[in-house]
Amino acid sequence: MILKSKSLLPVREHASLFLSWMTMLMVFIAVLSLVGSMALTNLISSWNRSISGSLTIQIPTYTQQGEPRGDAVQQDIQKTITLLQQIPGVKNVSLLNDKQMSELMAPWLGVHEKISDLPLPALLDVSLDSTQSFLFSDLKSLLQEQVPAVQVDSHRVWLSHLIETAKAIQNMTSFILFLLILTTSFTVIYTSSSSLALQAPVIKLLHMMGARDSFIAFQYAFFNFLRALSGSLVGFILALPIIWIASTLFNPVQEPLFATAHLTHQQMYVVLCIPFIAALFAFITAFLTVLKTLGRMV
Amino acid sequence: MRNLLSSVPVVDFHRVHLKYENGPNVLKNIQFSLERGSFHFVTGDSGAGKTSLLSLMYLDQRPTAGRIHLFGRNLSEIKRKQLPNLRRRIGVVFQDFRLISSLNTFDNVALPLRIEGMKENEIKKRVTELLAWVGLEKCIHTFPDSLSGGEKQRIAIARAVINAPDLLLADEPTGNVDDAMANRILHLFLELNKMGTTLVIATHNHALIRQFKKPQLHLSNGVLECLPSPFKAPLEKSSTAPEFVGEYHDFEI
Repeated sequence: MILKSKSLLPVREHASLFLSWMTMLMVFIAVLSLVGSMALTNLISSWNRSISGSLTIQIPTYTQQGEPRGDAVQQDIQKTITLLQQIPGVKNVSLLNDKQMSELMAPWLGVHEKISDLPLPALLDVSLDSTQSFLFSDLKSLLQEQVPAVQVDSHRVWLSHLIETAKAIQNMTSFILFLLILTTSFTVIYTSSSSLALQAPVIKLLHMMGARDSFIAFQYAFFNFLRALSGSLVGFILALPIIWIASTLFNPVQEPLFATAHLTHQQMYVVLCIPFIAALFAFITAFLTVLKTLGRMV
Repeated sequence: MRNLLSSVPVVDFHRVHLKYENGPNVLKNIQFSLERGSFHFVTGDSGAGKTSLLSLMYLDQRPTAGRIHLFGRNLSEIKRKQLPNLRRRIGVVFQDFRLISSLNTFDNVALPLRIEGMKENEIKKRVTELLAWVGLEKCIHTFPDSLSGGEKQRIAIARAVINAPDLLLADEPTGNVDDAMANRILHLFLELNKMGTTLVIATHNHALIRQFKKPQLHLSNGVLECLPSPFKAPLEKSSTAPEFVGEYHDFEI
């Protein structure tokens, strides 16, 4: 193939340089959008799992006036456990020990050897059976009726708001990706068409030598592929520091809420493929555009 | 396939007219046929229609009226996707060379072979040999913009003959080379002709016409005429002689 040696097209054609710049920009935005979208997806699923699979119940160890509640705490714990165990859909109820409490509070308080000295509530970790329907409001009412001191964590409510917001952001990034694909398509179609107009004498010559439309289209498409690939790789490389900065901002130790906002290995492979997918997309679009245009020629 | 078609004329024009858009007819009622292995000069003054006649033969133009058969195929009936195979049997030397500026000498000459899908090692062998023959072995990696008119012309010729076409059309192929090179090129054409290539050469070079004593297709204001041989040597009617039949200009050779 001629591709082994030189391109049929002038090397410094403005339209193809424009394509390189455009794909660089597109891939830069696409990588950021996709990484953001994937991280959000992971975060939403993680939050969803945490909502559906467990529940935390706090039993205060001090009164609102700051007085220790003494034996009432243990009574409330026992009563709550007994009540919860009778509720269908509750799989397991366990009281967090000092070590577990210490681990839980580590991101905020650091490693604290004597966690029991702190005025922290006793925490009951409740595992729920996801196969059974479960009304959070019913449970809350029942517990507050039987054990008025307990506080059922309402994180479910604000987390669901957070999930809705995350989903909206996710939809927005999907829309941005769609716009990027659309813009890239138009860019490739424009550059291919303008290149064809400029290269009409070469095309005519190739036709006269017996070149098939597919041969000519392949030459153009491959040239576009190389241009798009070079632009894509630059765009990809430019996006990496931004991703790194963002990942340090969502440090799981400092921001436990975003602990799962990282990509899986499979997702990383997908992100790595973006420059090549973009270049391949440019190749296919250019090939089809040129083929269609050539079909109208003599 | 090519052998089966050897008995039919390579080129057959039947009452062909050509005009560009709303202009006057540049070719009028052209009628002739060329047998396989024939060698003809196309002569005529500037603007007589020589290039237009060739462009009809290399399928760059379609006739306004009339019928053209190439290798026995009626061009008006041929489908677009069948054109490449037909065009690959035709080699063209353009007056303006039409070299691709982004390709070096080697790649320009190799182009028809690559279009055919020939293997690279075979392409390299053939192109190198031919470039050496036309005296361009030192310019193998040079780009057209750095070459002289004569060198460009030799590349254009090498490109046209590299795949030993069945029909070779050359528009002023010796216009930019010295007499010695012109002779050399014409002898290359003769060699191809001996191997069965049908040659049609448009030229103003009367010395060449006289030297090679080949029949002429003479155009005058778009009309095909017969000119006597430069030496008035009687031409025998042979398989290499064209058959001219025309409403206005019937003539004998």
